[in-house]
Amino acid sequence: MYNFVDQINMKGHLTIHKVLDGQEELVYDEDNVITSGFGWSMSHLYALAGADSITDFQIDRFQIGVSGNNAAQVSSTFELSGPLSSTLEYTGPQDSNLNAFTAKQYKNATSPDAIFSKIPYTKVTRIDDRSVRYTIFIDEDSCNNISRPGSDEAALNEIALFVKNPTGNKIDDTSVMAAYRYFSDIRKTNQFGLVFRWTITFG
Amino acid sequence: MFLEGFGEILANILTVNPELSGISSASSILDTSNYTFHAVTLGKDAEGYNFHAHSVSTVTYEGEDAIQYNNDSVIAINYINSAPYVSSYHPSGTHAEFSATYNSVPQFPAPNHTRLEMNSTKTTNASAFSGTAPDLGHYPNTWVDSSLSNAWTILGGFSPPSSAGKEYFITNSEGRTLASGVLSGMYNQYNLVDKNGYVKVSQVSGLDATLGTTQGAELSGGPVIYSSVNFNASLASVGLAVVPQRGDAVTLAMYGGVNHIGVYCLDIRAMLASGISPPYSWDALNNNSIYKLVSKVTFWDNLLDHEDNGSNSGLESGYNNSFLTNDGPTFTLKFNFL
Repeated sequence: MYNFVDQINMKGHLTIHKVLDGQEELVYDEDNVITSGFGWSMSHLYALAGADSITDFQIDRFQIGVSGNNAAQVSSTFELSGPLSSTLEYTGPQDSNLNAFTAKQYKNATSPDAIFSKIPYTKVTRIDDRSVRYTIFIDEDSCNNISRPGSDEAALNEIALFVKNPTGNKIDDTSVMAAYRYFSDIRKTNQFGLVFRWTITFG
Repeated sequence: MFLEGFGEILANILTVNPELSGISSASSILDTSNYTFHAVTLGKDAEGYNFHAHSVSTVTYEGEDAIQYNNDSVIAINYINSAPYVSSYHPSGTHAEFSATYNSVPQFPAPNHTRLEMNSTKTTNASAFSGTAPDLGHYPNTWVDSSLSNAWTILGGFSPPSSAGKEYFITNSEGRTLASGVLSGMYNQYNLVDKNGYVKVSQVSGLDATLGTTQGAELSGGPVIYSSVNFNASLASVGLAVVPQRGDAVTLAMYGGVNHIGVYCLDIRAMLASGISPPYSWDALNNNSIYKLVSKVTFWDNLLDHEDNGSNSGLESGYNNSFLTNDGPTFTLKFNFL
């Protein structure tokens, strides 16, 4: 039996461009994994068991991380392997264009705090009847010089999109991973920005 | 099977502007209820809309008034006439009788389908009828359509309520009555189906699987979403119970049965473009909703197969008077979101 993603022929595609002196250079161009959290979120909508506002079923936030790996590229993945661990890691000390914040993340029946960055609605584009593109711009001042124990120069190499709050948690948004991608290492510095263009197509 | 239409609904959900929440006249666009399952339709093979009880009887009521097709009763000829179908209606009898001209195979579903049968489902048997018969791809509900109701017995497909006092007859090919009764449709009694055959899906939440014993009354709001140990949001699966009760099961069986069930969401974009703004309420007689088919399920077999129980008619005793749990056959559609 086909699973939900296969039934509706749901696909994701991610491109990453490095932006330097106003010029874009394509550094990554691959399909991505739609994780089971997307269908789980939609089941709450269609079971009449979720949030009252449709905006809670929208993808409006992302996480980026430094411990991506191929093994995580399966539909059952519900968290990044090594997400940035503070709002400061997203925004740096000043001038970042990112809006990083703390909210809950649903992880296999638990909902601990997690750090997210907002995807502004202006960066959500309907490409055609069944395709939506999310554009995430990490500017020169964001996500720079990340370090981890044993690695002073950790590279960005994983990213995920999240559904806002499908269960309708009234106290804290509790987000669920909808799509994941591991990508080749990019050591982010203040010398360049990154543009992630993530297109999700339904059939 | 989820269809491409469902992808369009999901894209609608992901792209509706959240800033509408700050505009009082538009904020209701963001209500989750606008995006859930809103209607179901029932259907069969396309050619079947000119056979079964869609045929104008020539044997039972000679000299009948053409304005009141089949004398304002639903009539089907049982071509089998052997146990256990003596006083029931099994469409295979009609399939066999007209096999030279009648292709009774329902259309196999495909992701790009926008209706249950893509070929015409227009009933052309009502030759003296001045109105335009519908071509919807599924059963209409012409009983409530003022422009079509004088041919409702031919066009189908849902039963009038018992208060209307309309009858059905199963006859043999010589016109002898084999079974009959007063139709007792529940969808029309509770105003759950519009003239185009869209049956309203109840938006009541929190129902469990014991529909027949403790929550049967909930079916008076239409097909219901319910949860069970097998269907619940935590398991990422959704159960939708569709129950044609009493007279609805009778007439749908007599018109050739059910081989398709379609599930629809509101086409919000089309409705807004047409100036139809939320909040959206149900009005069976003046339904202005625009629907998008998001899922369909198709069966080779007729879901309303029934048979006699001894000398008791499957139609009258089994369906119309309904000894069944939930007062009708319960079709549960499971949507797996994993």
